[in-house]
Amino acid sequence: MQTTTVHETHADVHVHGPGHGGGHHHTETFISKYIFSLDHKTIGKQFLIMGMAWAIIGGFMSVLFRVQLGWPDETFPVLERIFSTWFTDGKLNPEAYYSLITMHGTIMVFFVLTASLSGTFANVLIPLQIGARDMASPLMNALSFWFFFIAGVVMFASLFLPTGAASAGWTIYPPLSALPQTSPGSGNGMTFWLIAMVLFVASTLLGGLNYVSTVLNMRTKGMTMFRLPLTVWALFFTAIIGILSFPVLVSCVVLLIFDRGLGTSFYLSNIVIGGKALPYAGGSPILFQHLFWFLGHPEVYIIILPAMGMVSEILAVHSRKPIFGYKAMIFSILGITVLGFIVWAHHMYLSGMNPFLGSVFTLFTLLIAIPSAVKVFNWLTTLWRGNIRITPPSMFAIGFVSMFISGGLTGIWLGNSTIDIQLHDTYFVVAHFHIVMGIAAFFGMFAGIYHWFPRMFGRMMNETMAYIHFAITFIGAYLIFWPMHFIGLAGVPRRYYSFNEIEAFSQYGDLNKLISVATIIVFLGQFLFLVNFFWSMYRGRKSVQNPWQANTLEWTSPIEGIHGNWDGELPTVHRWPYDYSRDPNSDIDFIPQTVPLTEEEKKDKIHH
Amino acid sequence: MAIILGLLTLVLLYIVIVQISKASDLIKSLRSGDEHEESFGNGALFTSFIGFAVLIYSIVTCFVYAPTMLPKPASEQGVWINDLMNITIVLTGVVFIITQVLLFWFVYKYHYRKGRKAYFFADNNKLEVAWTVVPAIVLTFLIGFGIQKWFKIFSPAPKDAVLIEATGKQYAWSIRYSGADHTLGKRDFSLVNPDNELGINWNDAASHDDFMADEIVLPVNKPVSINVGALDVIHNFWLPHFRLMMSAVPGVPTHLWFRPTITTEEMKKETNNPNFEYVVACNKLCGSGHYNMKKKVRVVSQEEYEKWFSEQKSYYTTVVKPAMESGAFKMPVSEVAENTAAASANGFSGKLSTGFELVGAVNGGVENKLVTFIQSDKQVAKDIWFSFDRLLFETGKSTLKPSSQEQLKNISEIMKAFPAVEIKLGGYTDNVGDQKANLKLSDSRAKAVMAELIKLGVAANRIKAEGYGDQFPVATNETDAGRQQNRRIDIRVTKK
Repeated sequence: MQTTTVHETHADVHVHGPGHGGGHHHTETFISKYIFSLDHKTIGKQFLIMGMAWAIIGGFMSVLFRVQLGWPDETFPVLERIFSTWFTDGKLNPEAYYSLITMHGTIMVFFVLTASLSGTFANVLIPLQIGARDMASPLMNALSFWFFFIAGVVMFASLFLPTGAASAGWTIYPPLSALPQTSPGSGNGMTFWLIAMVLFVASTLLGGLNYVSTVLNMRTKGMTMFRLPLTVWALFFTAIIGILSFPVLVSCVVLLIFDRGLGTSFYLSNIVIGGKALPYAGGSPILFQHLFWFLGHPEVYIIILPAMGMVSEILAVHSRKPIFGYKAMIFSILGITVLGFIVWAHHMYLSGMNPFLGSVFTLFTLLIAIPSAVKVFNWLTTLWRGNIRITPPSMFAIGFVSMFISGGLTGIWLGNSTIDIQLHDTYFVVAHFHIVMGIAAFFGMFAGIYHWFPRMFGRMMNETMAYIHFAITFIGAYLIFWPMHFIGLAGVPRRYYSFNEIEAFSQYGDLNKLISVATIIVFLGQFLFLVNFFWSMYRGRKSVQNPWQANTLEWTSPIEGIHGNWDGELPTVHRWPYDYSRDPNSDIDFIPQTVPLTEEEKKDKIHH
Repeated sequence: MAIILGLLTLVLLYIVIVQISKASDLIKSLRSGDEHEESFGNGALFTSFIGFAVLIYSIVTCFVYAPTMLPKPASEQGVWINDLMNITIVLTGVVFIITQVLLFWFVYKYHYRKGRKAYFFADNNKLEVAWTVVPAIVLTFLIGFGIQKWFKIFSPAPKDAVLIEATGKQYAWSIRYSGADHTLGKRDFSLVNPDNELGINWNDAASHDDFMADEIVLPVNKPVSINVGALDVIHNFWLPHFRLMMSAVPGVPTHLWFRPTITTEEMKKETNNPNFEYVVACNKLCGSGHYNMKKKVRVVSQEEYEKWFSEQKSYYTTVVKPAMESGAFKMPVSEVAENTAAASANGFSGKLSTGFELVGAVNGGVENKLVTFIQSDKQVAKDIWFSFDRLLFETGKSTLKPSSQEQLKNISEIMKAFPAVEIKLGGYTDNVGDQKANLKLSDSRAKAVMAELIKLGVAANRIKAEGYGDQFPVATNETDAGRQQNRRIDIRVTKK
């Protein structure tokens, strides 16, 4: 078999010195080890740290605009002193407000929950959980990070432009995004945004192709597809979705660049500004929306699938039970992946597209609730009659399930085109997507970090701080986003700088204050996580080899994280990863994947 | 000072938490492995408690905030949407409560206990089929019900519907009613010019009885058909109380129809709010003024509607025809190129000699009028005033809203581009309220604008400001729209 030979040659390279620290290259410098590293574990950590930085920036932006929404009549001279270009007379300018919400969305959706979430865990977990020495192409892997890094530099730079960062919303619908005369943010800020996104997609594709080929070709001996942990399945499908949908975003963005710079009319037609007819003809703004959401919708699954995969794994490990319905979980991921590609126009029910299309997309959209429901019921059954260890990872995984239920159910409202006539683009939508893909994905990410921290850094994170972090984040997230459902049902549109200009929407002053206070507390609460993270990295309790007593392969690799992942031969896999509490007579409630099947087990038909 | 104290408290709080946490780590490392395992169940009550607390909060707030939400739907279509929504609320609500209760109950009931074994339960086909099929049936019902109403809502409008055209532009809705002939005059993009933004073809006789309305007035229980469109960017025509919306897309005509069933007066009683008004709001981000793009809607009885309708003046006969006769209005020509050329020759390109490009200045706006006047050979005169069109004050105060900055910046740049020019600012109010107070308010507003311009770098000796109260109205004080025009700041060139 060709793949086996690859492993062995690779092994030969690295195993020249099992006696001295496990195959380290002696010539590694600080730069080659930590900065331009080709090691998947280091690249994963780079994605994580970068993502944390972006999450703080994106989160802080939300604090700034929540200040405006919570206290629309107050002035904040202190903030003006720090952010002098964004504030006038102590108040956030509408232009700056719209730049902030645009950048908040872009940063959180793309930089944190796409690049960093997939980037961190696909890199750290895929090779370790399938038993590979590294990614299929370590160089592409490193390039993926550096493209992400450069995209971030361009995006960050746009904040300092005199005309401001892009301000047309993270969905950048033209003509607003195409015509600088309609909004200052559609000047250079938008150009930077578009360039950053092209670089970002390059990063995603380099990473995604690598993840897919690694999962398909580099599994260790005995690791059949149906013995893969659900994390790997989820990351695998995530990468496939990204490969199929992100190129469409590039084409969408490139056509917009043409419209902005070359005078083409892909998205523009019959535009009148200040009584002047602009010479655009024949394009359609709705075409942009189709292209954008062809990525944009699968994008939400790119965000949520890795979290689902990690939560499945973590709930099984910590409840000491096999995940219920392993194959159903895989097929539901597959179902979500396939359906995820044919529901994009549910973002456009009222865009002016043909109402007939609305009915077709309603059908597919509501169908996607079925695999989602299967997953929820399977997680609940996994907890049922378990012996659940309440740890930071399992707490956040449980929090994820709660968020996914809350946010998923409102999807049944919005997915139904008829109800969407009332709720489209109101605060109800803000509540829905923040809970189901924002907060839920963050919970999945936190669960993953708390769970695999010992694998990444050889130490445990502090549990007391993690519990407080959980309580603040979980309660705070509900306090922030739950009431937004009510604001949406009162008809308040999203992306409003102030609620006070329209009488029908002005009754939520107190509630907005409450939401803003909760936002600030939750934001400050995240620093507890950061303190815990960096403090534990150096001072945390030392981890044992397999701190959670889990079955998967990553816990068999040496704790110090050597280059090449395993000393000597790669582990051989004999069973699926979910043999928890399989033998009721044994005192040990887990059987790692590397343990050969007993004669009795071979006769047993279920799961090996 | 308060901020420093706050920060200090925060830092101290952090230090306390971190220290306590470290201690707990120390205790853990001192414990034997067995004792450590014991602690695996400790967080169960905590997690479960938080879960149930949040669940109770979610349910209770639904009832607490219910009265703040939209009153009952004011259209037939809204009632259908509401019915479907109520069914969905009940179904998803039941699932929400059951699943969340199970989740946090399991967390407590099955938390770690030493010596207990988890139940090895990997598969059960019957269960899995059950929770695939049951949701599928429920969803099929919701899909069927939804699609049926969807097609009903988007069916063709009845023939007798009142026909209105709503056109969005940054940041206002212009409303055109078809007159007595129930037909809107044709529009042609190639006819667009600053005097005819919509590009209405005045040669089409159907356009001659169309009128433009300041508010949307609708007869109760009659179908209303609305052609929705936009000039510059995408807007969204959102009628919250009727539960209906439709995107307004440049170049893509859209449409919506509905039957209002409750008059404004009835709704005032229904909501117990004497100030209740229906409204159209913009529901698609369209730029920095998005949050304030609204139009009043009034639903009235058939008689009131007919009376109002008969009072409206055709735009063609009152504005277009006289202008054409006096030669001030250009007859439609059909070349876009000609038009745009004419438009830019007519107005001013927006770029100043200093290189500054005026932001958001439109033809007919104060910037253009000011520059055109300065550049023209017209003499400075006491009665040549131009009104600011994008200055907004806080109600009853002389505090400028932040959105006014754009225009102020433009004016200050114009002052820089023409250093010889000196100006006077006049403040005016409508005639509502106390005359003295009005005079005072108008004065302080004019001075606020002056202060703002000085702040933007215009020399103080080039500007004067005075309030005139309710003197010199430019429109009638009898109507809302007229009063709004009278509340203004004007600018006059005193030297050039």
